[in-house]
Amino acid sequence: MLSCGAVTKVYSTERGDVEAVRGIDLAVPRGQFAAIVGRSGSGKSSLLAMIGGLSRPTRGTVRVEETDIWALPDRGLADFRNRRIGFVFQFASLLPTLRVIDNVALPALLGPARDTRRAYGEAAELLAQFGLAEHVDAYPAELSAGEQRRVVIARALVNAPALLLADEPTSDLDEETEGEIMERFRTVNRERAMTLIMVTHNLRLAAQTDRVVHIADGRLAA
Amino acid sequence: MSDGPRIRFLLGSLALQNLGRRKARTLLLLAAVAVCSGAIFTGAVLMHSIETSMAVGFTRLGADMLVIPAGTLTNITAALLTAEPTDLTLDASELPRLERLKGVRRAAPQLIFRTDASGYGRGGELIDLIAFDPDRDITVQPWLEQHLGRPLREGDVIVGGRRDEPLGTELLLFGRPLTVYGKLGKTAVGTHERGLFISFATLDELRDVMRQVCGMKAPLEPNKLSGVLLELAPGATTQQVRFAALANFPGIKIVSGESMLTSIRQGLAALLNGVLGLMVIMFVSTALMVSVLFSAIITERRRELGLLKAIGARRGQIIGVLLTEAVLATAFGGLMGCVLGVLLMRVYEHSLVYYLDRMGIPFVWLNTATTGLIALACIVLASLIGVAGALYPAWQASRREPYDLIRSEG
Repeated sequence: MLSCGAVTKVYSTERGDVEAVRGIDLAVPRGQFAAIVGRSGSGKSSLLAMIGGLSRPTRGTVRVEETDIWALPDRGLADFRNRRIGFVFQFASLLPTLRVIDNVALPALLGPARDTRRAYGEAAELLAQFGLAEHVDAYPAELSAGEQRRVVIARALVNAPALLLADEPTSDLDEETEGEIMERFRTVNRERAMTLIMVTHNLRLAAQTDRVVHIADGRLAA
Repeated sequence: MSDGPRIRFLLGSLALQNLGRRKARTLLLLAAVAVCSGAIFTGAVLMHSIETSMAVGFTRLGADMLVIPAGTLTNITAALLTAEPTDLTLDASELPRLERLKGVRRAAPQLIFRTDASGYGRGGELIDLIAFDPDRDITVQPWLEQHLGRPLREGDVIVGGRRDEPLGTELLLFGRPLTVYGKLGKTAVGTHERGLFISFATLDELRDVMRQVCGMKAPLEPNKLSGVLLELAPGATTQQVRFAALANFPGIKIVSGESMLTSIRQGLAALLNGVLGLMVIMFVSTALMVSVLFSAIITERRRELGLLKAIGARRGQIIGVLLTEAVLATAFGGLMGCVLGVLLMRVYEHSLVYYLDRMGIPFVWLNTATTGLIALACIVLASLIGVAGALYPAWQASRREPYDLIRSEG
């Protein structure tokens, strides 16, 4: 499903080059829920960005469903991200000026032309599954933090991606909401057989996944 | 593949709502573009109006040169409209030869006779009676502001701009009734404004009675002219015609208005070029300002743009969102500028028209259709300012990697 071959990421800074990820090899089979854990600055978010087609590796390859994503042209990569990868970010990533339903339907409308009615239908269905049916016309600011995070997950799923990537998805949530979000992830992973990779520094959360990958100083730790 | 209407609507509303989120900044942007496009709109309308007015004014000013008897004193401004009333005369038999001079397109004879014995007006008013040839005329009929709905004929008189006789009424001159055929506009030339204009045929009718009243004076002899106004053929120069006339007609004097008109035209052209230069500078500086502003807007919204890219927005869509935002703001600013320009011109209309009128230039406002086209062009120009200003920052943002945009948020 996912394989990284010797991926390396070097950032150029005013004080010289910083090697954030150092030649990581990683394979995640289809349907696995994996957690990447490590301390702040260990390179886990950089690795996730390279896996998700958000940041080009300095060296190495990333294959998702046998596609070498970094060999794709810019437009092809944008379309691949749109159709095959879903993202749940650490920050509040809803567009505040769009309604909840528009936020969820947006990825379906951005990519290669899809029927608008169908896109909105799927968005409404996902929101209903996530217990947000009564909030479809609300704006993000009118929702609680937990509800907003559920909307973000619904948005990540609207194109039925093969891979769902979550970067510290519960870092700003209370324990109860955190539990609720984790349950959502497990349900999605189980019911849709979706591959899920979550970056976290919370070992208790990581323990709830199928596999834990430790990273330290840009390398896989034993 | 092209975007569907719904995504265009969503991205468009993102752009619109982003403008609404920062009201003070948006208002400042609108004000800056409104000032720029308002200045360009007002400048363009005034430039066109002044150009039209000057063109009309120069056309109506009439002659390029005046041929008069040597020894006649002349007022250069008046000389381009009428000869001076003196006892010195030219022989009318010279007219066909003058007309045949190389470089002359038209020669308009005039005879001007100043008298206080016409019986016209109150208590021996001094009047200038100017005879002209309606078929050759270049300086009287172009100034006709009102006239009867028929051609000028024998027994008609045209009154100067400062006379009050209504059209169609009778006016007694040397005891003979003449019909007021028309009235001239104001020329700021006294002789012209107070004069009474008749055809040579009418003068011939009056000649006997004028002699009886005024005595035998040179201008009242048959076939005499006070001067001949010349219009030059295209490409002909005053020097060329001056030398030819002086060589062929001893005892004449040539008055040319070209230097005056040329200096006015050149002055106007320099002014208009200066205004155009200022407009270009305003355009460039506003585009730079919009560019700086949009660089700041993009810096502020990197996370949003990164998020859009992460969920699949293509580079063209990112550029489109930012350009839509810029075009919406600057086009509305352009519209505001045009409205402000119209209001400003309304405020200064009276003083502007008054000053130009005092200079003898009839101010002609552009028609509504042309003004509307200029307004439309200004709005399009304002939108182009938005595109020009936002294009580079938008292009730069679209090139950046989504993760770079997301994590560089402050």
